[in-house]
Amino acid sequence: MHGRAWLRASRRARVPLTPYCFRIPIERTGDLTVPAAGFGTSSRDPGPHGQYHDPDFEQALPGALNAVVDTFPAYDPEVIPRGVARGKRIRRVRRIRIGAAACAMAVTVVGVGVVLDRAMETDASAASRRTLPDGEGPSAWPVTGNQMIAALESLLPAKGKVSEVSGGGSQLTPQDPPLIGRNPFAQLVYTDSGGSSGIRVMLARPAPDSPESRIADCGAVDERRPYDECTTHRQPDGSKLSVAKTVKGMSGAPGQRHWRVILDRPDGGRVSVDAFSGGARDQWTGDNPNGVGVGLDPRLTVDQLTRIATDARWIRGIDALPTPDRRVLGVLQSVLPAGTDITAKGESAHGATVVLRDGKGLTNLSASVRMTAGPLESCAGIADCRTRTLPDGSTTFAARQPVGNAAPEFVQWRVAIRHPDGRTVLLNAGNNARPESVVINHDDYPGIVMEANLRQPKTSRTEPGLTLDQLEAIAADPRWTR
Amino acid sequence: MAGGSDADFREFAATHSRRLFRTACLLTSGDWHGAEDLLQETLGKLYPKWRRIGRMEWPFAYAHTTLVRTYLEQQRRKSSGERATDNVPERAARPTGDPELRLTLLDGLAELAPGDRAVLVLRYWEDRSVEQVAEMLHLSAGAVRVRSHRALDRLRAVLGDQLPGLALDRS
Repeated sequence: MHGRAWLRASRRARVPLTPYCFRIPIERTGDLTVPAAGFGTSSRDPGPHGQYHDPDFEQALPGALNAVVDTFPAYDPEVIPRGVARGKRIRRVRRIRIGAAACAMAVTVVGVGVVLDRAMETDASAASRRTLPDGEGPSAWPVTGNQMIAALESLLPAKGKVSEVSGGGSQLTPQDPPLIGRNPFAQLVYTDSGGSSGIRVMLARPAPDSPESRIADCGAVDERRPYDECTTHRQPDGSKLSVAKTVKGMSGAPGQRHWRVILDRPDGGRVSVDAFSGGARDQWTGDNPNGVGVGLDPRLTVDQLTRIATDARWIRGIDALPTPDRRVLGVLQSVLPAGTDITAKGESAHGATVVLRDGKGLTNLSASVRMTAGPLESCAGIADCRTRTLPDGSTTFAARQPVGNAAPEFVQWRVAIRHPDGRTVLLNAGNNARPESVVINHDDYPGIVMEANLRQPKTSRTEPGLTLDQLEAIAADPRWTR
Repeated sequence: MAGGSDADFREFAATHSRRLFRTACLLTSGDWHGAEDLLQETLGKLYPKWRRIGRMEWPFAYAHTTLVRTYLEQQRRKSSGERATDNVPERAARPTGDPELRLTLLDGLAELAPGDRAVLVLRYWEDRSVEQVAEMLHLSAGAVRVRSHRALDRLRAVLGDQLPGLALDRS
């Protein structure tokens, strides 16, 4: 028996899905009878060689699992219509396949088979390779990594396979409010008969005038790695479509090829799609003629990447992301003392960094917002430190101290406030900024802030330009909790 | 007995999705985004067959078995199709406000092999017999006992003596 025939036969021989609950306690819900779960009292079976050695543990486990289950959130009701849409699509694909099989049997003309195959391929690639419902994709807050992955997979040509799949949603933890959202992304390696490519898609709302926003006009985020080709076109709907190609490494020698398509919408939302030749992005930055993808093009063309970037599936995901003024960087800028001069800024997963300038020099100020369960750190071991409890129950921490292992002239002022709901604002002001600092949201590590041009960091002033009192006032500003 | 219409299916889904979702949450070790995806996939598989499933005496049992098998299929696909990457993927989203021990229990579940975790969830949360679990997972009764024993051992190693306390906290 040939392999395919054997596979079909083995599938037919699988044990059918049959009700299994005829001997277990039941509970009645509506007009359906369902098996009861989690509260049964039936005795456990012994282990493979007799009674399990810790009966107390075994007896406590159902209760513990129930306790954990009680903490799970309710499911999103939208999952039902999404499941129905998914089911309709499964049924549609199945009918096409059945029709194709019938035609192939009735008409032994190869051309017909080719046409049908193409019809199915088109259906799968245009609508979904993971049979994602039409119009489905990342939607309301939070956008999840799984949604991103599903949407990306659904937009890839159906003839290839995917591997090394990973993704990230708009939250790092489920309790994170939109204020501290991050850019959702999905990345994978797409492989077809011609080779592999790393593919990545990311949704964002870059802050105006930020380094990230410059890409819309073909300005590289990081000047150390400019594009070899880049064009920007204004679309009829007002959005900008930037197409960039990089074929050389940092030294100018041939390197892994990188195609990038970025759609910047009029409302500030961005979809960026990257394709790397040979596989996932090669982290090696030196010359290597035998490196990943050298001399090869990514498997997806710019047109294909453009179709992914402009697909409507991303729109609702972008709409769900907070606008720049409602993220940490936006709030931080709004709560700084009036007249503060900001020379550089950037965002990270939980926060933002700005470089401030006054007549005495530069101050590096970072803000981070998190939902924390435990109390703030104590002043134990810190000479210049204070903690307080505010009338609304919030607790504060403020300290002036040297920077870890750095030279003694590097100092930082640290302030934190934890509100009763767990929202915690942390500020860190240092005296080590440089005027040419560019804080970037590095595209290799979504959500990670890197500072370019800081090869020889040195202090800019003796102390940060904000006092501990000013920092405490900034941290306690109600705009952080709105 | 349930009928076979679209409305019947939606009613069935609305009635039982909470329960299916909870099972999915345990199977995914508390990754409720992943659990929602698993639930959605399960509903998608059920829908085209609803005309037949709706006439069954225990449609929920069929749905539940579909959920567990779908989960194991996904895990098999992942283990065969994914390779290590330098980029750290998103950590599973977890329920809010958990005491540390409950998170530890979820972490303990996460350390189990998917098949072992499914056995443990079915045996100790769903309260299925060894034979029922064996039928659901296409395993022998002996294999279910071995997996169950192994999962308990592993979980016991992670949790130590804390588990009875967690169970008592609930009451």
